[in-house]
Amino acid sequence: MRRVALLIALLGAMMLALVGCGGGGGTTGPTSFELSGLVENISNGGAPTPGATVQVGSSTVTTASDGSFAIQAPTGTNFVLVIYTPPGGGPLTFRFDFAGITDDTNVGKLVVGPQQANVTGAVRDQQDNSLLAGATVTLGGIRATTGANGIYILSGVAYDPATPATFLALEGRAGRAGYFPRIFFPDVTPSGGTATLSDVLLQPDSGGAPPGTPFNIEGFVNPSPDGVGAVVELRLGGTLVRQVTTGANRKYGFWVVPGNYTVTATKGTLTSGPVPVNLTSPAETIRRDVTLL
Amino acid sequence: MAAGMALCLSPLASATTLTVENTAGRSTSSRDQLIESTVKRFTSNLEILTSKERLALAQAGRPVPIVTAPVRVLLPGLASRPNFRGAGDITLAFENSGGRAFDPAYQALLQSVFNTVRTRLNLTFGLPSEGGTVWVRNYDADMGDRDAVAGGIYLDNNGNSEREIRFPVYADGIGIKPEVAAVNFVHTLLLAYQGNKRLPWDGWDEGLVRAATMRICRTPGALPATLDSESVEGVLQGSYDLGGLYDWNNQRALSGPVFIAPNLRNAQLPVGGSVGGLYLLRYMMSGSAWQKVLVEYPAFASEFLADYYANSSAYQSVSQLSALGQSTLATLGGSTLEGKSFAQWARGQFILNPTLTPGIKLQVQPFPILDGLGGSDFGVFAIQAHFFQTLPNGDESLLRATSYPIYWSPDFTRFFASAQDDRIDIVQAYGNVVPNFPGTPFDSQPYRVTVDVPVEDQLERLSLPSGSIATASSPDPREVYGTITGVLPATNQTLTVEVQYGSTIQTIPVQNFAFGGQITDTAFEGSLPLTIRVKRTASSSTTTILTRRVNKGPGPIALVLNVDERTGFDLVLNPGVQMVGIAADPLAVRMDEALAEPVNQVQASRWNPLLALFEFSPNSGQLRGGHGYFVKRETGSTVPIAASQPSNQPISVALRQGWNIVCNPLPSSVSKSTLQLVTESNFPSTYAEATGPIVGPDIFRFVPGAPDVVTGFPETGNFTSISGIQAGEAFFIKVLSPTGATLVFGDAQGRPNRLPSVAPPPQWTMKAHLTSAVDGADVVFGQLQGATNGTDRAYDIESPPGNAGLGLRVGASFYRDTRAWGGQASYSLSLSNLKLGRSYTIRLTPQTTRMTRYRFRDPARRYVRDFQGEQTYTFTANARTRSMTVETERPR
Repeated sequence: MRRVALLIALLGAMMLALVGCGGGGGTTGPTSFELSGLVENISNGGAPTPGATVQVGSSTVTTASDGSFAIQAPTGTNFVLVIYTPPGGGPLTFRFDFAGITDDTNVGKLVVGPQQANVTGAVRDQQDNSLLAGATVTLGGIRATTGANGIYILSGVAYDPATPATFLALEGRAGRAGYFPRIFFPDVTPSGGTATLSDVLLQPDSGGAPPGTPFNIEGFVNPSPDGVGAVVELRLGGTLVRQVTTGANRKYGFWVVPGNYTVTATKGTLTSGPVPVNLTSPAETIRRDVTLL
Repeated sequence: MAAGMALCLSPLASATTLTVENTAGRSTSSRDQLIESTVKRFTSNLEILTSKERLALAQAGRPVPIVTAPVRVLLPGLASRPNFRGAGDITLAFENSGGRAFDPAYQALLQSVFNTVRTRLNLTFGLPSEGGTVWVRNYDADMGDRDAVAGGIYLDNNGNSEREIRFPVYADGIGIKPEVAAVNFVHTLLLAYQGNKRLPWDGWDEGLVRAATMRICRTPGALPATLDSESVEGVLQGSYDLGGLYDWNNQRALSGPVFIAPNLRNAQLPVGGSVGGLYLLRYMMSGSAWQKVLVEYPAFASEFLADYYANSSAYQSVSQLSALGQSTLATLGGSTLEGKSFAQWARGQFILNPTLTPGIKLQVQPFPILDGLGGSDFGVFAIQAHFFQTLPNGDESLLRATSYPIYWSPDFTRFFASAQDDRIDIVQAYGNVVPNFPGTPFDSQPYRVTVDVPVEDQLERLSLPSGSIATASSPDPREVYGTITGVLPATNQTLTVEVQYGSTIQTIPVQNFAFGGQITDTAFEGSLPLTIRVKRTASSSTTTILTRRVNKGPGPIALVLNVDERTGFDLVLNPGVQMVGIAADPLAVRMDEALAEPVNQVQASRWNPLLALFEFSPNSGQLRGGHGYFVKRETGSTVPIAASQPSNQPISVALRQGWNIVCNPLPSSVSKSTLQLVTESNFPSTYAEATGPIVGPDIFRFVPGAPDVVTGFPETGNFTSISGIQAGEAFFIKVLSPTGATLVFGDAQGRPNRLPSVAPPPQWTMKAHLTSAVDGADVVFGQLQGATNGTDRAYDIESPPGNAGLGLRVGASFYRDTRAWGGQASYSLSLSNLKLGRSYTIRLTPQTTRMTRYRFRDPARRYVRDFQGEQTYTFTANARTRSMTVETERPR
């Protein structure tokens, strides 16, 4: 092929130098890289209009018509600020954290909106329900790491009270060394600027047995340690249909067809009293924690 | 389209609009034109129907007049809906002014079509269910692209108690497309014929209408004489008829009540080459399914619909409609359809299954490249993958994913030759790959290539006849081609395929389980009922090992002939909680459908490792062979499950990272040690080899516990590590590989061969993968001993056209550029259709250790960097095109 012959003739000396220098000595590494991503408006899933301002240090750039941006960022940059002014409102600043960059980096989708909420929750081991420290949680581009208590706090997650379903559709991701990464979705919308989500359960990737058996009504018997060894009854129209005894993790679970049930936990003289659980679809899952009093 | 011209898409300044250009071919080579001729069937529909294009036409003035025949125009307000119910004539009414009026020439065309075709409509489809006026209004500016592609909308009540056809203006940059308009108008007229007696689901309703549309439009003289019949056929081939490739596309992802998901109905078609979801394939497959009916029973539609109109409320379930279909066959003097009862036949067509099944879905659609092959071309296919998620409300999400297809030779050796490490990057629910299957392993004889396309936990298997359709040395496409499955290799056996139509029998030899026959008899060109027989000759004795009835539409036909196919299995259910396996690909798509029980009473659940939770039926995904479920029952029973699965061959099951519930899909027990795992482009590993990097050490069976004191049957149980797996038995397997894995079950007769059939020659390849936030493209380049620095048909692949979005090529036109082994080399990467201001990342991934160091150049930024191993480079587009260079070291 002539094109190759010509190019090789032209490039031969250079390529010899390349091989000779061990592949790394030919050029000097840059001190800054290109940081790119896509800013999305939670209200409609489209680009923010007008464009949002993306800031790294003192450098700023405005998002393009499709929400994308690219900005030069120094080595080690580990967050960007996105300033978004919703229609009829004042500017809001969203902070998106990520690992310090060492190369050109695309940080993916960053979600902004007319309001911000602090979203919190816990990450637990699915098998023993223990709280997991050091787990990384992202939602709408906002990132946090769980503390020693297994709790994460995502500050300033985008929210639009006019379209609450878009918040529930935000795809969250959680991961930790030793566990399979997983996707989750918020199960509540923010109220008063905060939202506390259900626990995110991670499956260990080493050892252990399979995830267990399915339950569509499940929960924990509180408090600890009274909930250990509690008898939990499920009744349908007053008729006992299932009965289980909690183990060390205080967890109970039933797999039943749709119906209007009650859950009652008892241990000695303590009882939760009947807690109504209305299962409307075979595909529905309900978590109902009960408390012994 | 004029010869030598190519209809291409190119993005405009806006990210959400497309336009049409009549340009020279995208490539100077013949290959692009060949692939274009295949792919354009789909893309041409989209190209001429975008909102931008139609808007441009509207702004530019009236389209070119084609038909000027006088028509009667009813003014608004003059028409009233009659109370008449029953057969009658319909009259068309058009707006004469305003935004809903058509250009007079276009209106005249539509009226002319109706006037000309009316008699044929009545003959084929029966009289309209109700007479009266039907308004035909211009909805070009408002109609969703998908509805326009599908051929317009009919509303029995538009909100103003009017019957209304909403119709677009079918045109390109030159003028209106009269043949496109005519065919689609016939389609909407037939919808109007049904009036308020539409069949309950798109698969039945649209399918029967589209089959009738095809039959009518192909009838000489049925349409106005001004229309070009070849162009009419082109429209039918482009958006109505997939009959020739029906066997290959009859897959479970087609099922569902409607073809266009509610959330996509008015969503614009995406940029980036995606076709925007599965809707068009569904429309085409439905028409082709019902075409099979009309081939054998030409009067079926009118008879069937007359009875349906008379008492439509009595036929609102699949079983009721199947019973009506059976009685229609009897009325027409028959009893079977393609050799089966109507109910059996309908159950085998996934497009006719209206069950809504939430979950992720995969459809894999192959096209043979038929014409003008050269060099060592030997079986070139375009393989398109559609991957999406159906939500419980019927909405569909267009997903992004990566698939690593596995190409198996006839003895189920994973091919090692070039193009076997293809990757399908799926963006906006769509991705494609164009592998070439060089004939070297079989001395240029045809052979069967089995293609597994895994995506997440979905997998579709194709059985393709490499070298049986058209090759460089024998370029005339065959009329009948396909593959045989279920027959074990034997040295002294000869297989033949007999194709009988009427009293004529054509015999086609089979080589390596693939066949292709040239049938020059002009009688074979049209629609025909065929009887297909597979015959085996061994020791001078010939036996028929398969007989199948197939109703063929016009043109060639692809066949997958499954000898000794598994047609079902028994699902043994015990009281209590248990794990069960779906031991073969079921015809039902949801558990309650398979068990024939009310959905609210069925307790079935499957672990979703991505979400780390159990999903419950009916939201636990489509039933699929090789998957396992937890099921809870109050009583025991044995339920026969109708299925369809080739025999005597390994079966693959796709796995996701995490815990997967799967089952042994073979009819015999297997040992864990015989399981094989395939990840990405790697050769199969034994379970022992895969333990650690790919899978966990153990697989687990669920053992139900003691009967519960309250319910009297096991409510819980334990998991036990097992080394042997019974036929159909379900078990848990843990996958550690982040990209998932494909689990291959091979029994004593069909065990996959792990050794490459051809000793791998020295080679290296590098993939360049270009992505933005919304689209992506990739190319492959490298060196291979045996390749040349010229164009090697066996190794080089030029970029497929039809991709309107982001473009990435090696050199001027290559998707894969394989050069001679050894020496330094320079590869120019050509990026096109970049969007100004958008950020892009290009990932360079050497696929070998024999060449790992390279120099990367982006002249636009004066960027030069020496790289080693996989590297990424991100830039912001400041021009629509850009060139970069990869200069590689001499391989080791």
